[in-house]
Amino acid sequence: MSNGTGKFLSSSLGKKFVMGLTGFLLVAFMIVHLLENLSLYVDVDHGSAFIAWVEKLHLLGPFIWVLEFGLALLFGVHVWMALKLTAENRAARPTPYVMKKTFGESTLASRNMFVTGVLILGGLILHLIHFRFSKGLHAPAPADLFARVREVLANPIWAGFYVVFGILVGIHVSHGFRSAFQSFGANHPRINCCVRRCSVALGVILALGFASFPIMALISWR
Amino acid sequence: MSGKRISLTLKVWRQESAKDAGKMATYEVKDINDEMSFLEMLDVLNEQLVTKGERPITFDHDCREGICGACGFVINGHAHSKEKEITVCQLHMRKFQDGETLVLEPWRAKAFPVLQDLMVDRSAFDRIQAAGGYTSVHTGSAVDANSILIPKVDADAAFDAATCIGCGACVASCKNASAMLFVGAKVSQFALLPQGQVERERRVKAMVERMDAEGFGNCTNEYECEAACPKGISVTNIARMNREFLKAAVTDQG
Ligand code: HEM
Ligand code: FES
Repeated sequence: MSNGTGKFLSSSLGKKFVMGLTGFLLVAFMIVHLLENLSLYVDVDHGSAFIAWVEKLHLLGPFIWVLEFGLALLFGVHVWMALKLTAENRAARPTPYVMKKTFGESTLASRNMFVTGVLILGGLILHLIHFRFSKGLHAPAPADLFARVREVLANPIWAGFYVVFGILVGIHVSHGFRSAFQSFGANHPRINCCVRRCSVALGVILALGFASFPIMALISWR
Repeated sequence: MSGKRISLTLKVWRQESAKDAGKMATYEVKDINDEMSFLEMLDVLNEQLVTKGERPITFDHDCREGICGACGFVINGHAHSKEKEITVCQLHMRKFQDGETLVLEPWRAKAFPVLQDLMVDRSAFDRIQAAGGYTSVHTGSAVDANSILIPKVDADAAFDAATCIGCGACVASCKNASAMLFVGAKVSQFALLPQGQVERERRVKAMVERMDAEGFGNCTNEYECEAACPKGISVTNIARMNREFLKAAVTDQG
């Protein structure tokens, strides 16, 4: 890494840029993931479309490891930057205000990005244990994966957990998506309104989308 | 002076020096003419404190007409009060109700250490300015007027950015004590003009580096700074700084 790149990445703006870029790519991944899960609705009882999708993924062979590694790297970098930025932000105000109000565009989502992020990370680890590593290091066969999904989501406790998980992702993205535009310098009256609405819409779609599967499971798989 | 008379309870941050821990102290101010400015009300309180042999409340001020950027503290959780686009010296007592309680605190940021009471050290801003907030100009005979043409939109945007008075309300209102609105404005004011091109890349890199070194936080794009800015400086200036920085990271040779 040249000195210039290192300097860029250690600067506040560089870190924000990386945060936005990894966040964006994670959002893209979440959209694809949601589409994959939506295939569950094609055949609720036997999951044929879902199994077919996963079989296609398995056709990638060793390349799937590359994708998985890339995804892990995205999460890793996003979390690493989140830890650094949040630590710096907390250190920047050692003495808190006795009374502090907001009147800009601060929202529940924007104020709690780190909190929702950490909860998502915790949820993600459980999620990987549930499905990706249910049969050890190698991913389960497509049909086994579907059986595992049925088994886990039929448990009301886990169903509740996945509803909350979906909502947390939605809240995080509802601020994250628009925030990333600003971090990239993409702020113009022509797009701002659209970006703002898309960000909220995306958050709602991800939250409702992901929360819908455990609810379906409770209705159809018990 | 005519006008209504009001009484207030003030809870004010009192701190002897940068090393002192500091604490809130409560004062009753009675019979305040509501045509006074906020700082005049504090002057009245301070006269009473001096008469009683107590140390008056320290606060920064100079022009008292919203142009110098010297004044500023937090009133009930809002930098320069909850009124939009004014400095605290432009605030009138008629904005308050009789019997109200007001909490007055200094700007809170690691990069703005409290010197005494409501006065903080904002020299971090000066150091950021010194790092790159200047242009190289020809010092020979005066150039011909209008020899450098500047599109009206650019001139307006540069002027808007240049209305920043460096009061620090952006830092104070930001949940992360970030100085990005200030630096964004200072970078933009030159990046938009032909005169600013010579140092363009070097400037944004140097000012951001200085900003980081001073211990300001990172923007999380919640736009509290814009809402608190007495000059209404837009966060589009932060976006411009982000673009300038990205461009400089790719193109600058130095
Ligand atoms: C599904 C997973 C996730 C997605 C889709 C996602 C998406 C995003 C996006 C788009 C941003 C905006 C970047 C910007 O402000 O420029 C962001 C910011 C952020 N994320 Fe995530 N993220 C995810 C997981 C996480 C995790 C696991 C953590 C932390 C442990 C985390 C913590 C943060 C923090 C602290 C910010 C910065 C907030 C800000 O600057 O306002 N995120 N995320
Ligand atoms: S005293 Fe000059 S801006 Fe308030």
